[in-house]
Amino acid sequence: MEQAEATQFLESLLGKTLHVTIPDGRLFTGTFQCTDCDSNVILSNSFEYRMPSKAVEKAAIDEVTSTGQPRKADMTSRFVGLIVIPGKQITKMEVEEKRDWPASSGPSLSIRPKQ
Amino acid sequence: MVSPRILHPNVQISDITRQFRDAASRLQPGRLIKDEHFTLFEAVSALEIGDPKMDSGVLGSDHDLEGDLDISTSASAEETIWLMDELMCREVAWHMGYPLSQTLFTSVHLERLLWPEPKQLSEARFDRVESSKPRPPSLISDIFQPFCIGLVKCCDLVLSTITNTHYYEEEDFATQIYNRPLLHDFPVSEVSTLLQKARMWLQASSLPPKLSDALKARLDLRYALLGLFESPSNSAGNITERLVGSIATIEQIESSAALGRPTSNEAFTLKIQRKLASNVPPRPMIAIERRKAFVFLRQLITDTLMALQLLNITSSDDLLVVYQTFMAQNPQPAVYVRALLQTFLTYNHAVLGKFAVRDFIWQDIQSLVRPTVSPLDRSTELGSTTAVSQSQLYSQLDHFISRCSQSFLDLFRTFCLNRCRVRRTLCHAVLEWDQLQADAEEIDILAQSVCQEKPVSYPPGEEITFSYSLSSWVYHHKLVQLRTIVHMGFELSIYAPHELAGMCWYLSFLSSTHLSHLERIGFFVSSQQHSQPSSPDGARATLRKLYRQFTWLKATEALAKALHCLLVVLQRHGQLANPKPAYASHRLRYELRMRPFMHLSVPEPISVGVAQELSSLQKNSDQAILQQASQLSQIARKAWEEVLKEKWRLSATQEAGDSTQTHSETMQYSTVEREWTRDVQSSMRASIGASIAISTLTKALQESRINAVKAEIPPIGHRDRWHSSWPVPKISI
Repeated sequence: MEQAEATQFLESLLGKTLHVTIPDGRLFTGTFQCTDCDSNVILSNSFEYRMPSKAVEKAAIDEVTSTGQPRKADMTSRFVGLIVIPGKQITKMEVEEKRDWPASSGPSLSIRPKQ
Repeated sequence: MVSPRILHPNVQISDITRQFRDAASRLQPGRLIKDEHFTLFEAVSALEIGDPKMDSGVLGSDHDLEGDLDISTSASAEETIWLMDELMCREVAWHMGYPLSQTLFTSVHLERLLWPEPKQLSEARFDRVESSKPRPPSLISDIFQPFCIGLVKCCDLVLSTITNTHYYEEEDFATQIYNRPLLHDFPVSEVSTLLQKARMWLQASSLPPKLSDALKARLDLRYALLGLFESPSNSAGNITERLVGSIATIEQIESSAALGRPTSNEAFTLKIQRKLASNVPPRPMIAIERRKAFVFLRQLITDTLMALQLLNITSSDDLLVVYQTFMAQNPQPAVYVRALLQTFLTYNHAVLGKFAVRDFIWQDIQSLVRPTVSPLDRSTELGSTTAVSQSQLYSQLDHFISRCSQSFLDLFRTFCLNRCRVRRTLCHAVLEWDQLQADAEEIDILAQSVCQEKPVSYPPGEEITFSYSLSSWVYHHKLVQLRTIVHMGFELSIYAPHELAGMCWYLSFLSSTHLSHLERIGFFVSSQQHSQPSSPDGARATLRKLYRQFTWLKATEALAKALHCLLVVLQRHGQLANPKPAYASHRLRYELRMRPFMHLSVPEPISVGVAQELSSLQKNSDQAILQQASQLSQIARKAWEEVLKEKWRLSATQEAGDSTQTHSETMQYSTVEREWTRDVQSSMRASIGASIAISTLTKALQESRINAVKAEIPPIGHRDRWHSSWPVPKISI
């Protein structure tokens, strides 16, 4: 990837919702605002999602095994606002996009229209 | 690219980890890819994820969150008492301005009660798991749980009151609730019922009386607070009785606090901060000391109940004194009380729940300047002018009064802010009043022609002029505010010691200006009374009111002048000297200090040169100045004595001859009465202190020992600082 292309790719992501996972298992979603060469990422209006704790998970599994009914153990979430995630903390990064319908013939949404 | 996952028919998410890293690594070091509207200034406030100092979600060595929020299902009475008292200390900390996340929201019990958000009040329970068998009775679920619900509802009521008024976020109070609504949707009556049930449960229990009484007192106080915060004025019962009752309950709680014993399970933990919606870093737990918490609660209840008495006040004059005096208490009333007093201004859409704003303002104008026109009485023919100009006058008058209403009510509201903000807000307000004065003058001129007002010569023998009633009223209020700005400058220690002489001089200038203004108002009110003796009683009341203002100003002027003289002599002999820092100049400093006054049209701003000349008293010898100072301080003392005789309330002095004043009437306003008296007495002490300082200095001068003199201004709160608004130097040889 050329530098210009790299820049263009990153710029195309600005303003989109990113899902970033960090080593302790937490997932953050928020609007992509800024990054640098170390992949440090700034997200605004972020939410933190945490996997259900072992106790809750165990309780759910126990319930499933004893009752046979499906049971969900939800992730807990909370608003955390403006955050910076250091590049070294990022284990996974995903982008949320509008899905292209086969019928749509417009330009791909993944690249920002050039000014 | 890995094939995208579909979250929703319209939304997909794609893994871009590798692509992103690859692209980012190609950026030049230092180069940023950022949204055009995103600034690095904002970035500074971003929380760094993974940094334990910034990220409240970082888990410590213990990796499981939920497991630790283990709520004990049973607790002894002693433990319940402890839990209740701990919560109370945290509630007080919240009242004092600490956020919920550091105070009440460190309680595992409250967290369990409030999250997930209960849809019905019956869901607000410590044990959320549905269970088929009935719960065994326990102190935790039958006493402590209703107590917690009552406490949370109290917080909800307090929060609503505060957020509906003017306050400063974080400076006064933290309103964040971290996405945990404080049982906002549930009516107070249901919560009260729960508390009553708990009390009945306790009565039927077989606890030892000592413990049972201690728990009862805590439930009772919660019940009383709930009623107080719900609608302070509507609750039944005599204010004094309620006050005595609540204070007795607090005493009982305080004396039984020693019975409490900490729980073995961790009942308060910072781990809850990980779960709260929050854009701030983790912060430490705050609990106020028991002793201080009880002092605070007592004050809170006293102030709240005392504030209710203000609703009986009938004159704007008295009300302003009350707002000023009530808020000048040290320590200043809690933010809840300050908010409550603000709500009184729009209580049931009327000032104190009974005056329309227009009537309230007009009554104030009327009682001070007695203008010839009145918007309330349009039937009177005004002279022989045309109906057109008359209706024009009325419409302008209407317009003026509605323009004033905000500014006038803000006078009261301003005193409910924290002390620094009071001064700051007044500095802005005087500019507004300056503009109002110009508008009022226009109406006065129109009124002169419409009412065919006869000019009189004022000062007697000089040029003829008109009454200018409305603008006189505005000017009066402006001068009061200007004076308060200087006084609060002393109170807030804004001025450096070498600036005090200049500020005292300016204060005396403001007071003299105000005195001559009141004299002018008095002159026109009485000359009008001669020409049209329509309401001699009204005019008499006005002159009485002017006299009261006059006495106060006379005392202020004399003391300000005495202090000015004293400070000038001290400065001549190298005391309280200007430290002369490298980049300061007298002119710049003067501009800075006089900034609030420099943009006014009246009183005209005084240039630095003129101020310097007038305030330095160059032409007078030390001896002459001190002699004058000595006389002035005597005058000041006598004038304050005179003020003290007048009592704080205009209506009270009118009723003085009336012996029908009941006992409850004298009990009323006790806070205001006490504070006002203390204030005047302290001013009197300041005058005496000034006298002593002046005579010490005179003696030193006579004995040529003036160079051995040491002068200092005792700081606020010091025993020798007689009055916070009067910087009287303490002189020692």
